[in-house]
Amino acid sequence: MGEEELKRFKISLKLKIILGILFISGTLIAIAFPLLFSSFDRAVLDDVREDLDVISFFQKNRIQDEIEKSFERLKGITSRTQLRLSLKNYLELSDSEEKIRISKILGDALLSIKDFRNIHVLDTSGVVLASTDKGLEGKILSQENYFKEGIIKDSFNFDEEKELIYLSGPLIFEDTILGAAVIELSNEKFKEIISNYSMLGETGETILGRRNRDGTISFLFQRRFEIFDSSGNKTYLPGVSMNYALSKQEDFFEEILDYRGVSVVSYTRHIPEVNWGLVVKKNREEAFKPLIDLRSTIFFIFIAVAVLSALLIIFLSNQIFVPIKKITQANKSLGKGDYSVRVKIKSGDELQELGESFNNAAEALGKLDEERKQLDKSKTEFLSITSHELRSPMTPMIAQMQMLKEGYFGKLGKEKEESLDIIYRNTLRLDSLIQDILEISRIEAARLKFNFVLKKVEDVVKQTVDGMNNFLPEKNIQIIANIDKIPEMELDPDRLMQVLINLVNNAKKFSEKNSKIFISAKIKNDMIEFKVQDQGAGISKEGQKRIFEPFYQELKPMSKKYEGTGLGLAICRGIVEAQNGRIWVESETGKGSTFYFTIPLIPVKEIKPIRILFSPQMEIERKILDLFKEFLGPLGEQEFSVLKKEKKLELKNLISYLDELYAKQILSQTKLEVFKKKIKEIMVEKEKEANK
Amino acid sequence: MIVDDEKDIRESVKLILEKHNYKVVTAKDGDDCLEKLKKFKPDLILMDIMMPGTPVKEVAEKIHGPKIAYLSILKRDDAERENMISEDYAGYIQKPFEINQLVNSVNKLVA
Repeated sequence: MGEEELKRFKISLKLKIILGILFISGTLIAIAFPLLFSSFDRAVLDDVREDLDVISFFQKNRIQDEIEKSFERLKGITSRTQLRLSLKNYLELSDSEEKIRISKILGDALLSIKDFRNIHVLDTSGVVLASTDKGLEGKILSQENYFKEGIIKDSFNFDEEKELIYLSGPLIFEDTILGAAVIELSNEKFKEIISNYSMLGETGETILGRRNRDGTISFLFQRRFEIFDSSGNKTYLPGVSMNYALSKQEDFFEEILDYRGVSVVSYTRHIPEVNWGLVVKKNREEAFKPLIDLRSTIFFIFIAVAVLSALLIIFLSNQIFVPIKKITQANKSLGKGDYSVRVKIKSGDELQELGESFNNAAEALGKLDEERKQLDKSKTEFLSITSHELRSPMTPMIAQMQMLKEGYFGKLGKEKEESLDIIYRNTLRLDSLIQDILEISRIEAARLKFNFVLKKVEDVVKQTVDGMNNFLPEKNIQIIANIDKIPEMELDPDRLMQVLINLVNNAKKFSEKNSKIFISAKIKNDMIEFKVQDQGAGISKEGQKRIFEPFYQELKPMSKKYEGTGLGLAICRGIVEAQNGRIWVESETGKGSTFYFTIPLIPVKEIKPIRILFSPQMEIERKILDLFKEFLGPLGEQEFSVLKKEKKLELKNLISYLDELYAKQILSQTKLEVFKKKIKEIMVEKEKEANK
Repeated sequence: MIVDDEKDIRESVKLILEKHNYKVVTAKDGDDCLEKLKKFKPDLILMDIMMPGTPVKEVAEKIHGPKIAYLSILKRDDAERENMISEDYAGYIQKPFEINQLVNSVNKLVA
């Protein structure tokens, strides 16, 4: 579609559809996107929760297993009969043999289990009776927790500083507590469990914690990440999750701060056997990384889909609009009279059908146009042939009459002569009528010949005036020519004379005896404007409008006397308009008429056919005048004649004239619009007519 | 010699010219004219432009000796423009004519 259309329709259909589809898809995405995202959020959160749940459960189990295994090992020592018997004997008899036996048992156990660091046997007062660590023997360990607890029941004590686990349990023989066995156990196994990050990614870890007697919390084992305060000491914040774990809460925490102050997801577990807290945690950033990845993936998919669908929309709309555009353009050509135009649409859909029916219509129109042209041609040919045929008999008729008149066949009587005069005069009139029709047929067929030569307008006018003095000499009419200095120019003197003669003849016919006719010519823009002014009876308003129509005659007694063919002025119009000039008349009844016509300074060499006999022009002028009357009332006629005088009746002139009337407040805004619309309708009709 | 396909025109012109003491022969078209020229040697041939048979232009080109004047319903410039007549010719009389004009022209052409 051209710019013109874009101006006319503010939004093209194509744009409307694209915007419509974008709006619908945009709305769908706006609704679907958050829904999609929130379900992704939930799914990912569930995943993270389940992960941590499983890992923490697994870690808890491993630690519990390890603790249980430790107790079993302790049992393996404390339940040994030989050890208890030897201890009993030793306590009772202080037999050094028994002590050696005890030491041997302890040494064997130490050797057989590699996690054991040392094993001691203490009496009920906490004195080390025997130990794999000889330096410890005889020392009193009654203040140690592992002794205090171990003398009563099997106990598990963790020493952070020494990184040791003290397993302790009573040695009982026949319901009597003889003392306690203490195993120093390496914490390697626990370390191993804690530092297994294989399922925890980059930031995940398992931490174990214990509440101290003073209520503070301390972490067991080293953590994966160490943080240091400003003075370089290891430091940590109170872990919130650990607090929950130590409160025996086993739960998932979606967003919580860890000992570093980092936002994490965590799962808390409680190990009842030793009253430890276990926390498995991971940085939120890492835990939710899949979600962020997914989001950006979805976002990129969305962009890609949007781009693809935009391309698809454009492609599809082109599928629709390219054919529509083709048809529109073809239709325009058709409107301009090109009936050979066809559209090629091979889309295999309704649009192809539309294109085909357009082609059929164009073909039918073309045929009609061809027929009409043929008819037009026939009409012109008919006119031309008949006029020639009609003229042929004139020659012998006129010749014979003249011979009679000239007395070739003897002198005629007065009555015979008068009768012959009437016949002769009317024969001449008939001949000139035929000549005029012939001329019109040429104008209509664009066969009017112009023979341009370099000549002065002044000379042509002078020649015309000189030749005119013979016509109606009895009226004694003076012709006064006043021609501006116009340089030599290309013109057809015969045609110019033809128009001038017609106008002057016309003026003479309607002039009183002894009156004057003024002829003048001056350059106006790129035209020469001729003026033939008489002092005759003038022409009525109606007459002024119709005087250039063929066979129009004002009903006046005067005209009866000097009948012409009624075609003279129509021929003038044809000649002038063939040169793109204008011809018009201004008159006031009783005060004479002034005929104007213009010819171009540069002649028009491509002659177009002009319709005179069956001209739509007069019809159109009348229609426009009716509109003027309708919209302006009594002013209408006056305004129209002013307009017609000043400008050619073209659409742009009419529109600008109406705008002027609006500016002068003669027309209201609403009237102006309706008026313009109607004028356009008429002119479009005219345009169509002209294009034919 | 008068050459015209219209008998009435031929006869009228013949009558007028005979009245003025000319000896006149007529021919009904170009071919007839050429045929009759074998027997007659006229001073002037008055010939119509639009006649059936051989085009006037071709006929005129075959005529050597007598002056040719055309007699036509067409205006002279139109006839020239339509390329219907030979390039050199002695006169051109437009139909319908005034008999005095015709006689004057013939007088001039023959003199």
